[in-house]
Amino acid sequence: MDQGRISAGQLTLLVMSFTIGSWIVLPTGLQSGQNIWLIILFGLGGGMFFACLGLLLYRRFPGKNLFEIHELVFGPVIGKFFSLLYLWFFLQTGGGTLGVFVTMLKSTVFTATPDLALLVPWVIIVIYGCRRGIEVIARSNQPLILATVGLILISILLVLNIFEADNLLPFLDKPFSRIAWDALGVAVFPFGQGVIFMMILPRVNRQQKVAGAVFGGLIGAGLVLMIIQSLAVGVLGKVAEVLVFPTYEFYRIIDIAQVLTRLELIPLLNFLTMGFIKIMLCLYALAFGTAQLFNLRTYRPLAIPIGVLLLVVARRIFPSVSEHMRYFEEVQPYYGLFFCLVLPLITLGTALLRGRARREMAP
Amino acid sequence: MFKFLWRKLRLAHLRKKNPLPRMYRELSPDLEVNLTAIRRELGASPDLIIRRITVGSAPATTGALLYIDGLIDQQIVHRDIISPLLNGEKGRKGQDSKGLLEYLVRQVLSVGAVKKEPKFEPVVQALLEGKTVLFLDGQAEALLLATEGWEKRAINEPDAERIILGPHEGFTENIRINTALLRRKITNPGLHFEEMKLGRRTRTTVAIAYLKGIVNEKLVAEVRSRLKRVNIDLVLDANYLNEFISDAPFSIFPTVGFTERPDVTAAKLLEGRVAIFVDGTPVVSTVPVLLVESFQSPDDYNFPYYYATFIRWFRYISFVLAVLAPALFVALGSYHQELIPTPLLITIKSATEGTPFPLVVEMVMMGAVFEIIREAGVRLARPVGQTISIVGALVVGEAAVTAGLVGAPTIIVIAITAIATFVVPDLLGPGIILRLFFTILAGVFGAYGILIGLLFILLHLTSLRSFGVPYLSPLVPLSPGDLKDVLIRAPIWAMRTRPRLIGWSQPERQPFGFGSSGTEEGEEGEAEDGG
Repeated sequence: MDQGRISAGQLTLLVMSFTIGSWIVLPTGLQSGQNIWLIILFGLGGGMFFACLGLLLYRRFPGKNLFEIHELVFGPVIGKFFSLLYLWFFLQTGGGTLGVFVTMLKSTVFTATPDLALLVPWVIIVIYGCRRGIEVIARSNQPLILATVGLILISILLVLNIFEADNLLPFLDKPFSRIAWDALGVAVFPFGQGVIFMMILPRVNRQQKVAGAVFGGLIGAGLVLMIIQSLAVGVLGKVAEVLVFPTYEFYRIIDIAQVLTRLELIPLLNFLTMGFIKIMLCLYALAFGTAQLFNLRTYRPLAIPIGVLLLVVARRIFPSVSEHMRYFEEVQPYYGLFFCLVLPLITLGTALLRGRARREMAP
Repeated sequence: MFKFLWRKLRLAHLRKKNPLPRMYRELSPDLEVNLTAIRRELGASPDLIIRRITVGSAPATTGALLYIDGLIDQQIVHRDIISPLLNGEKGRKGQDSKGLLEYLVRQVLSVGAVKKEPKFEPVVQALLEGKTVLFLDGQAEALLLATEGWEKRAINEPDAERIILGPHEGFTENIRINTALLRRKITNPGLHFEEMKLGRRTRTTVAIAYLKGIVNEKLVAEVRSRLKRVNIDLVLDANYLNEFISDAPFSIFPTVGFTERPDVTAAKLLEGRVAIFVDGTPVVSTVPVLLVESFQSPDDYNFPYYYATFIRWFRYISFVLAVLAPALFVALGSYHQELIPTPLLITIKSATEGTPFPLVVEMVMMGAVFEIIREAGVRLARPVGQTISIVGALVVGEAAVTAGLVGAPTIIVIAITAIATFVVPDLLGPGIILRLFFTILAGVFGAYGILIGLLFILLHLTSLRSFGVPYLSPLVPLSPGDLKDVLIRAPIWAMRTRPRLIGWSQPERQPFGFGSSGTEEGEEGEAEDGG
């Protein structure tokens, strides 16, 4: 198995990249219009709550990843069943990201390119990175997230002349149920998907810093997303609600002295690099988890077949953008809650009960 | 797959331990037996000189001096060995044959290093290294006299690493001169050399150099053990060993550094690195090496820091240009025309109007032509080389455009790229290969291909290590303190620490502030640092 270690700082950056991931171009909760930043804030709160759950569980079993915890709590058979459920979740997360990725490229730049021509090279480098281990993933993430955050901060300067603060008003004009529902959607995706880090936490070299690193990453990602979405709404106004890729579209409007134009490469670059890290982490968790499930000596050979599986899932999972949007609007909140709230709660509850039972039996 | 192949190769290589030294034969007390044995060992080589002599008068002892012509200094042999043996010997009386060798060493022979050797094989080896061997009849020991002296190249400035200001000397082919050049730079008892013979047949002298107290002892042990494992029959250049001891032998990036300059070697040793000298080559390897070192030139430290920083950034930009310019041009020109401002697009389009090949084919073709011209220019005699470059660059380029085979913008891009490649000579090889790789990717996938290539290279670079140190450090993983010599070239007085991952056993280079002189400036400096 992979023996690589990452630092707490690298974990923070990984959480950031993973959370920014595909959401940066295909945000959910757009119906809430100018309240999007508030929704991200609420979503961040929800995400932090999910992270608390995960970290509580991790604190009971320090140094164990999610699958090991399952086996410790439920025993080998039921534990493996729970782990299998999560394997599906990782597969769906990674495949979904890859799907968004193709959708995005096909509907913006590569309108005539076949899916496979885009997917195959991408999956090849993802497999290559995955086989190099978590250390390499964490390290290569550093310059990518720095570049992304840097580009987004520069974007603030770029849109100064077309940004209209009035677009961010009126405040809270939508019914509260609408906002709550959208916030739930955001809490589950992207923040809740961070449950995948339960597979990686034991690899951090200074364990006492784990919690801080995770929260730092979530908050950092929340801030970045808030900035970029507010910019999109501020520039596009009401139009943002009907566009599929508002963060992509607003860069097209930027025009500074006819020199800095056509800057849509910036969001594309951000999305591709962050999505790259997200897909690679998903593949890593998948391959690593599968190897653990079957007590294999190494996960590396698994990266290739599972990578191909990811490719297949990505092609099948979202036949079109509109179905994708509908999925995020209507299904994802329930579905995601099951994995980032219900299952961890069951595990935590069982662990507590069994722990108490053991303590009562011991003396 | 490469990793697998490599592991197999490496295992096969490791399994073969160095063969144990052969059982050495003893020398015979009989002079003729020894001489016959030597003649049999060396064959009828005409450069083996056997000079028979008679030592002393009563009792007279016959003997023979052996040396290889050309490897010895004639003057030393004549003045310090033959002449005292024949003349100064008359006065000796009643010496028993047993003490004779000892007497010769102590009172007669005036050469510096003398060694007694009772075994046969070391004698032959010494002969081949340029020592003079003295056999005496009745003695089962030979005297090995240090008389090495052969034609050497003068100390020149290395062609591959030219600088404007600063020391202009470079290493030569002689390892002893090279170690001396280094000693002249670092007059410190901590400078240690460890010598070993590598190459089963060439028996080449290889020396590890390091600064005790600064270097990490584990690093020295690692270098030593990797070198000991090398089991090759010839070592002609540093690269023969580099490919053995490199961490990533299949990578296009060098994970062992090399230089021909004593000042560079001294600077690297003072950062806690280890240098490997190989006899017979002016190239000295230094480990561990980082990617950023390829962008550092000795001139950076000989010029004021602001100018050095400025130039260093141009070096980074040049390398990016050298690798990516053709690819970007191909991607923009054939896939993303909409990203080019319209007037520029029209100019480019009108220039490439009517050319028969796609941009990527043009680019690869002209790139190949350029590589051919470059290679021919390197191999040919210098005056002809210049002719080649003029014919190649001017005539071929101009003619290709005029004939309408290739667009003029392509030639411009190739020319810029070609010049930019030479700005970072250490990465010439990787640069050329990466350029081809990116150009083809851009031709197939456009900008998306370039991004894929960049991510692939990023993953590859982050997975590389050189003797345990991440290749991309201090950038990834980030050690902010070390960026003082990467993003900028900080003033020398501000570079207070050695690189974190390499020289951390003795991190401080200089005291904080401006030293203990107690001048006003010094106090100001210290106050600044405190605040």
